[in-house]
Amino acid sequence: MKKFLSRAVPLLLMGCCFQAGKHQWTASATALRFNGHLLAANEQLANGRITFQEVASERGLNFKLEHSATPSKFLIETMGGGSAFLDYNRDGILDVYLVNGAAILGSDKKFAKSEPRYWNRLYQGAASGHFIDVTQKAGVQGQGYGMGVAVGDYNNDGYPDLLVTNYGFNELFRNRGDGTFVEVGVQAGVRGDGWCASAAFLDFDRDGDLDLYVTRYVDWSFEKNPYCGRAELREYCAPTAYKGVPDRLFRNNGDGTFTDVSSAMGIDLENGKGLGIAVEDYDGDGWPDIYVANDGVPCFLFHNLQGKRFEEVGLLSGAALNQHGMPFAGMGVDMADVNHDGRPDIFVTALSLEGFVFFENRGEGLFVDVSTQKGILKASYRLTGWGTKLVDFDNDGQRDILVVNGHFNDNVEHMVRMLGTVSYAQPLLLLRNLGNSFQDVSLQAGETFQKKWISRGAAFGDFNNDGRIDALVAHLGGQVLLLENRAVNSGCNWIGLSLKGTLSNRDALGAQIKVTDSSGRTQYGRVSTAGSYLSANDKRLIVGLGPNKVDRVTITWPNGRTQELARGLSLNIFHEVIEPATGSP
Amino acid sequence: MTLRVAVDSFISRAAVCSLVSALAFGQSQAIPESTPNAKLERLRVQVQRQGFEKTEQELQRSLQKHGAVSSVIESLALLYVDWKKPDRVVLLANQISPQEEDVALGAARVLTGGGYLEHANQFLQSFLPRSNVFSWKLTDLRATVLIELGRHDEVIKILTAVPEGSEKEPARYYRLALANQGLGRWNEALSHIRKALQIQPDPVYIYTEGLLLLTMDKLPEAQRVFAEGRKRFPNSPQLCLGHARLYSKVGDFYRVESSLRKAIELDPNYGEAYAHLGRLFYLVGDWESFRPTIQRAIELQPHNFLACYYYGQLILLDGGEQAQERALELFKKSVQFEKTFAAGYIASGQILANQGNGKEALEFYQQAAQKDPRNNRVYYLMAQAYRSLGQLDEAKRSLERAGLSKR
Repeated sequence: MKKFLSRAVPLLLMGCCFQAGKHQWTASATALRFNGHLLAANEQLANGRITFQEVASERGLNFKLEHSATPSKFLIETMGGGSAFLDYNRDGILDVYLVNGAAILGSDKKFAKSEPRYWNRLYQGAASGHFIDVTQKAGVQGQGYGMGVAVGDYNNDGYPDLLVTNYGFNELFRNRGDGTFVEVGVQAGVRGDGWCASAAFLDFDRDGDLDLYVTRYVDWSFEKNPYCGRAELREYCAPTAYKGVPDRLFRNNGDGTFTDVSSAMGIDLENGKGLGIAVEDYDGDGWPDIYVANDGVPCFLFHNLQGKRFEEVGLLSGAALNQHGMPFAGMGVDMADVNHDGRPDIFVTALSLEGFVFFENRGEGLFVDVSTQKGILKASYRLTGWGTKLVDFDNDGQRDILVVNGHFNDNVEHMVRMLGTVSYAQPLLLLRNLGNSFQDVSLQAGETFQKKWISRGAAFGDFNNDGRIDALVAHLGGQVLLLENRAVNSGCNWIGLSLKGTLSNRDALGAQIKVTDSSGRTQYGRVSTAGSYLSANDKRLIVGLGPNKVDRVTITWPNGRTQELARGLSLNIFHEVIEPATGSP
Repeated sequence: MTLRVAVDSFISRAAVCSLVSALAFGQSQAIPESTPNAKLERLRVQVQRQGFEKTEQELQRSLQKHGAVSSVIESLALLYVDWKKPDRVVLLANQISPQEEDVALGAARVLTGGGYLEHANQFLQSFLPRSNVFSWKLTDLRATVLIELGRHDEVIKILTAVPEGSEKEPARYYRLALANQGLGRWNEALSHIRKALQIQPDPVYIYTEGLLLLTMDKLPEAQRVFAEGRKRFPNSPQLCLGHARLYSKVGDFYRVESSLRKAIELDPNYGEAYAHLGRLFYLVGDWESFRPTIQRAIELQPHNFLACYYYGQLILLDGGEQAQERALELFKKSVQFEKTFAAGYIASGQILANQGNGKEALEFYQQAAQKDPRNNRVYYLMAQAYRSLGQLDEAKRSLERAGLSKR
C-alpha cells in the first residue's frame, strides 16, 4: 500500500471500517483519480451508448503478435496469442502482458524467440495513462512459441505471478516483487508438455493456495501436419485432423511447488481439444467448477466433488453440445450470471456458420442453449469468435458481451462452402443486454468496430480506473488494440471491489459477491482472472448499478465464510476489502 | 460448420421428402390448398349466418334431392374439413355412386388438403371396393396418401395388384420407386424408376433417379443423370433443383445458388426452389437474402415442409413476442407435410424443451429418432429432456445411445 500511495499521482484514499454482526475488520476504500480527472461512468453525455476508443499506440502499446505464417499452414500459426491485465507492481494501475509467437527456423523447424520482435511483452501502466515496456527488466520475454497467459499469486506473497503457456511447455514467472520475475516452471513442477493453451489459477481444494489448470489443444507437431484443402488452396486443418489430448491439473503444494493431479482428480479421463477455460461454481455448492471450451468435440464441465475429485458432467448437464446436439468449435468462454438468478450461465464462442453458444443455467445442474432466442445466433453466425467476456460495459446492471473475431483460415474467402459471407478478418462484436435478449450494437460502438481484424486473445479490465471495463485485444500478425471504454450512460452508478484474501488465497480467486441495489435487484459476481481465450483479466469486480445505490454487499470468501459489508457503500469508487480473520462459516 | 452438418442431415431426408411430395401430390399440386377458395368462403359466411348444423342440414337435403353430385359432395367435404369433422367425410364415401370416380376423388382431395391423410385413406378404402371398374386415379391417390403416411408396404401391395401393361405403367413404377425408397430399399427404388424412365422419359423421373443416387452417395452417377437430363430437358426447373442438391451435397454453394436461380428463372413460381435457396442463405448466414427468399417460398408453397421449417427459423431469428409459439406452429406443420422430416420434430422439441415442457419435447424427439434412427444428436437432446424431467437413468441411457457416454 505504501508503494501504491507513492505512485498514485492525484490519489484519494479513504480508510473505513465495516461491521457485520460480532465481527469487525478493517478495509480501505479507494477512489482513484486518474490523470487529474475523476473518471466516473455517470458523465453527463448522451445516454445509453457503449463506445470504445482504440488507444493502444497513443498509450505506448506497440506490440505486434508475430505468428510466423508459412505456406505449410502449421496449425499453431493461427491459434495464438493471449493477453493479460494485471497489477504486477501493486500500484493500483493495471499493467499489460502480451504473449508472442516465435520464429520457425531451419529444416528441423525449431522455434526461436531470441529476436526482440518475438518476445512476450510486459508493459507497466503509469498514472498518466501510458504504458512503458519493462519486458527486459522484468525478464519475462519467454522461451517458446507462446499461446496464453494466466495470472495468479500462487505463493500468496501479494504479487501476481504469470503462467505462460507455449507449444510444448509452460513457463511460470514468479514475481519477485521488485519489478522482476524469475522463471520457475521446472522447479515448480508445472512445466507440462504438449500444446498448452488457456490456463487458469483457481483454488479447487480451497486450501488457501492457488492451483493451476492448463488446457491442452491437440496432438499436433510439425511432423503431424497433414495437407488439408483443395490442391490449389491449402487450408489450416480443422481439429478433426488431430487427436485430442487431456488437460492438466496441478495442485499447489503450498511450498512453491505443484503436483500434477490430473489422473488422481479425474481430469485426464477425458481427451479434449481444449482452448478456453472458465471457472465458476455452477451448482452453488461452494466448490469451484471448471468449464473447458473444446474445439470440435464436446466441451467439458468438470464438477468439483469437494476438492477430492472432478466429475465430467458436460453431456449430462447440456453444456457440452450446442442447441442442435452438435459439437462446435469452442474457443473463448466466460461464465457469469447474466439473468440475475444467482446461477452462472456459460457463453462460448465458435466458428463461422456455427453461431456462438449461450448456455442458460436452469438450475439442478441443467443448461439449455438459448442462443437463438437471445439473438446471439443471428448476430454471431458469420463470425469466428475468440476472446470474450460477459461484462456490464455501460454499468446499467446488465452484463453485455464483447467478442473479438477472425477466421482461422487466411484464405476462407476462397472457400466455395461459404458463399462469400465469411471473411478472414472480421469485425468485433458487441452485444448489449436488453434484459431478455441481446442486441447487436457493434456498428454504434466506435470506429474500431467498423473495421475488420484477425483477433485472438482478449483481456478485460479497467485500465484507467474509471469504473468502465476496457479491453485489450491481440491480433494475429497485427498491432494490439487497447479499447478504452467510453460508454455513456448518465446516472449509472457502480462500485468496484478489490478483494484480498487472508485465510483464503491472497487473490481471493473464487470469492463470490452478492450485491443488492436500492431497487432490490441482486447481482452476483465471482473473483477470477480466467475466462476469454488464452488470456487473463483484471481480478477486480465492477458492479454496474444503473441509477441505483448499493443496498447490501455480501461476500462469500473462497473458504466458505461470508461477510456482509456495511450498508451505504460509496458509489463510483473502488473498495478494497480484506478478508476478516474470522467470520461466519 | 456444425449447423451445416446438422442441416445436411436434413437434406438426405429432404431428398426422400421431396420424392414423396412429388409423388404424392404430383407436379401440379394435386392436393387443394388449405387457403379458402370461393366455395369455402361462401360456406363460412353461411355458417356464420345460420350456424353449422343448419348449413349441414341444407347440404344433406340437397344431397338427398339431387344425389351425390360433385358440387354438393365437395361442399359437404369442405364444410366438414373446415369444422374438423373428417369422420363425416369418410361416411360420404358410401353415398357416392361407384361410377362417380371424380366426385370421390374430389372429396378425398379435400381430406388430404386438410391434412387428414388417415381419413382420406379410410375414405378411399371404403369407396374403391364398391367400384367395379379399376380406377387408376383413386388407386394412385391412395398410394400417394399411404406414402405420406409412411405405409410403404401397403403401397407396394396395392400397386403390385394393379394390372400390368396399362398406360399408367410409368406412374406405377414411379410410386413403387418412392415406396421402396421409403423402406430404404435403394436398389429396388432405382430399378423401378429406371423402368419408368425406359417407358417414358420424364424430368420428374430423372430428378427422382438423381436424388436416389444422391441418397446412395453415388455422386458421379447423380451428376451424369442430372447433366444429361438437363441437356434433354433444358427447361426443366426440377432438374436444376436436382443439380442444386448435388452441389449442396459436395459443399459447392456457389453452384447451388446458380442452379437454384436457374430453376427459378425457368419457373418463377417454383416454391420448392425458393425453399432450397432460402435454406442455402440460412446455412451461410446471409440473412438479408434469406428473409425475402423464404417469405417467397412460403407464399408460393405454404405446404412445403422445407419452406415451413425455414420460415419458422426466420421467426426465431427475428425473436420478439410469441416468436417461439409461431415458430413451433410452423415446425409442426413441416412434419405434418413431411412426416419423415426429423429436423422438424427436433426443432419442435427444442422449443418445447426451452419452454420447460420436457415431456412434450421428448415426444417430438422420439418421433425424430423413429424417423432418423441414425441421428445421434436426437438422443443427446432426449437426454437433456429426460434430465429436465428428473429421469437421470433414462438420460444416461440416451447418451449411451448417442454414443456419447464415453469418449
